[in-house]
Amino acid sequence: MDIYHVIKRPLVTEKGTHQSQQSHEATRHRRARGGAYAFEVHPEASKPTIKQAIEKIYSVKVQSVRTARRIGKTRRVRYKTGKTADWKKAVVVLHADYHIDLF
Amino acid sequence: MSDEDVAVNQEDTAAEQDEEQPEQDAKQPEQDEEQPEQDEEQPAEELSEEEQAMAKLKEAISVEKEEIGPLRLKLTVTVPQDTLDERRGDQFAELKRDALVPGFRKGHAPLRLVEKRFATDVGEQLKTQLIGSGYLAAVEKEDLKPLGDPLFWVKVKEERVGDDDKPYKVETEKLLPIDKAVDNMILPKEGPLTFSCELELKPEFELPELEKIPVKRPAVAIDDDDVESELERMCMMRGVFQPVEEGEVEADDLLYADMKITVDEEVIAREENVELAARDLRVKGVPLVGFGKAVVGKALGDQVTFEAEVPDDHENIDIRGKTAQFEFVICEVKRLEVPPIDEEFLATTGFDSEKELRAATRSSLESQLDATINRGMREQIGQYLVDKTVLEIPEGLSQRQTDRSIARRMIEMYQAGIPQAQVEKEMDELRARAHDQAVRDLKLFFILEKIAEERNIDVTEEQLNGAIAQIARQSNRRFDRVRDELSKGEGLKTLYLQLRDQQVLKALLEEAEITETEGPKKKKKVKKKKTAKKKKTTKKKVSRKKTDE
Repeated sequence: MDIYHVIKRPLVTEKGTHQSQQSHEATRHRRARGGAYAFEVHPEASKPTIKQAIEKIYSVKVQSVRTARRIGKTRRVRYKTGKTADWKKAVVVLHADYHIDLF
Repeated sequence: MSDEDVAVNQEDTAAEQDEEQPEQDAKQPEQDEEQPEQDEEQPAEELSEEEQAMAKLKEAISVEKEEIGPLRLKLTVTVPQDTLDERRGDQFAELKRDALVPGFRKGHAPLRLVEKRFATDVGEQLKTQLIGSGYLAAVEKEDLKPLGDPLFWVKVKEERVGDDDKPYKVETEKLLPIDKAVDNMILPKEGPLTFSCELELKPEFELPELEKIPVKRPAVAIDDDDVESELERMCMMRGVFQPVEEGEVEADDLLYADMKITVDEEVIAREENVELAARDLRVKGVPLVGFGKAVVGKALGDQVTFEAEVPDDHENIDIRGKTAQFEFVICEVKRLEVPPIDEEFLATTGFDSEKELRAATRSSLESQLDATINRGMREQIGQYLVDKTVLEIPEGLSQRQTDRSIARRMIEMYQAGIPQAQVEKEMDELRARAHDQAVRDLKLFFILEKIAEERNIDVTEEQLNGAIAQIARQSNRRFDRVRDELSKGEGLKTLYLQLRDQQVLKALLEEAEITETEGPKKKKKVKKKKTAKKKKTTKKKVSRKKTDE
C-alpha cells in the first residue's frame, strides 16, 4: 500500500489539537508537551505501516502509534436504513524532538 | 483530497522544522489562554473603547495635505504597520469567540486556525474599516470640515480593445467613492497602508451684521375692490358657455368653425368644428397674433381669412418659416354667462349670506397677501445675506448642484409634454442661469446653517411631525404613509432643512428693520379696477385658459 493511501488526512479537531499540545498517559514522561497527532488512516493499515508512512511524509521520528477502529453509525432516511462508512483513526506520538505543523 | 492535504502538510513541516520550533509551540497555548480574558472586558466599555481606538489611530497615522483648488484638498493618509497588525489581531480575537470551525466547539478553535481560515474575510473587513476610520481620523487630526463624502484615488484595471481588436488591460488611476474604491484597494501583507483621497471643504466665512437687516414691506391691504374682483372670479368659475344665436362675435367668445390651412397654395389641413376662442391663440403649432381682433364683429356663417407665419421650430419641417393661410367659417358662437351672487350661488359656496361670503373671502385674501408679503421679506433677507457675505463655493459642489437642478427641470419639462427640440434649446439657457442660481442657493444654505448653529436654532421632533401632518392633510393621505415615504429618500432631511431655514429667517425677520413702502402692485390693481372692471376679469380668464391649453 502506498504511504499516501495509508494516511488519509490529518484530523484537525479540538481533541486532536489538545492531544498535540497536552500530556497524555503514554507521553507522561514528557511534561507539558503532547506531541500526539491524530490522522484518519486506511482501515486496514497496521501500526507499523502508519509509523513508516508518517515518518516518511513528515520527516519525523515516531515513538508510538495508537489506533482505533471507528464503526460507522446507522443512519435512516425515511424507511430506509443506511450506514456511514467505518474508518480508522491513528494517534501518532512523536519523539520529543519532533513536531508536525498541522495547520 | 486527502493526498493534497498530506502533501501540503509535508511541505509545511519541511519548511518550518527547525530547532527552535518546539519552544514556540510550547508558548502557543499560553497565548491562547490569555486571549479570552482580554475579550471578556470588551463589551462593558464599548463606546469609550471605540473612542480610544479612534484617538489611538489619530495618533498613529500620518497625513499629508495638498491643496488642489479652491476649498479642495488631497489627503494622503498612511496607517503604520503596527496599527494594522494590532487591528488585525483584535479582529481575529473577536472572531475567535464565535468562529464555527468543523471539528471544534464554538469558540474553541485555536487562533492560528481561525486566522488561516478567515484571513481573506478579515482582510476585507479590516480594509473597509481602516480606510473609513483612517479618513475620519485624518480629518479630525487636521481639524478639517469636509463637505459630503470624499473620493478616493484607486488603481483600476480596465479592459480596452486595441487596434488589432485584441482586448488588453490598462491600469488607470481613478477617483471613486468609498464603497467602490474599497473593492479596488489592496491591503498590503507587509508594511503600512497608504491611501489618498480628495475632499471638499466647508467654506469659512464671517457672517454679516444680522441685527436690523433693512427690509422693505409693501404697504398693501385688502380693500373692497379686491374682494369684489375675487368674487367676480369665483362667479366666473361657475359660469357656463351658452350658445349665441344672433349678433356679433365678442372678444373671448367660444367659436366652433370649419378650418382650412393652406401653405404655398397647398392645403395642409382641413378640419370641421374646430374649437377656437376669440383671442390670440395657437392653432396647429402656429401662433395667430391678432386673431382676436380679426374675428370680433363677425356673425354666424361668416368667413374669416387670416395669415400667419409658421415658426422655425414647427413640427412639420417643410412649412417652417413660410406663410400659412387660415380660412375659418364660423358655425357656432358661445358666450360665458356669469351667474349672479344669489341664494343658489351662496348655497354652492356654503355660506348663508353674501356678507359672510365677503368676510370669508376678505380674510382668505388677507392671509394670502400676508403670506406673500412675508415670503417677499424673507427673500429680501436671503438676498441681503447672500450679498453681504463673502463666500467661496467649492466648484465641484456647485457643479453637482447645477446638474441636479437641470436634470430636475428637464424631467419636469418632459412630463409637461414639451417637445424635445424646445427642451434642448431651453436647457442651454437654463445651464447658464442654473449655475448662478445654484451658487446662490448654496451660499444661502451655508449662511443659514451657520446662523442656525450660532443661535442654536433647531427643529424639534414635534415641529417636524407637525409639518408632515400638514403635508398629509393637504395631500389627503395618512400621516404614517407620508412619513414613511419621506424617510425613504432624502425627504425628511430636506424637510428638516426647510423648517430650520424658515425658523432662522423668521428669527432674523423679527430683528429686521422694516420700512413700509408704497406697494407698486396695489397701485396697478386700483387703476385697473377703476378704469375697467370688466377688462380685468376677462384678462384673468384669458390667463387661466392659456394655462389650460
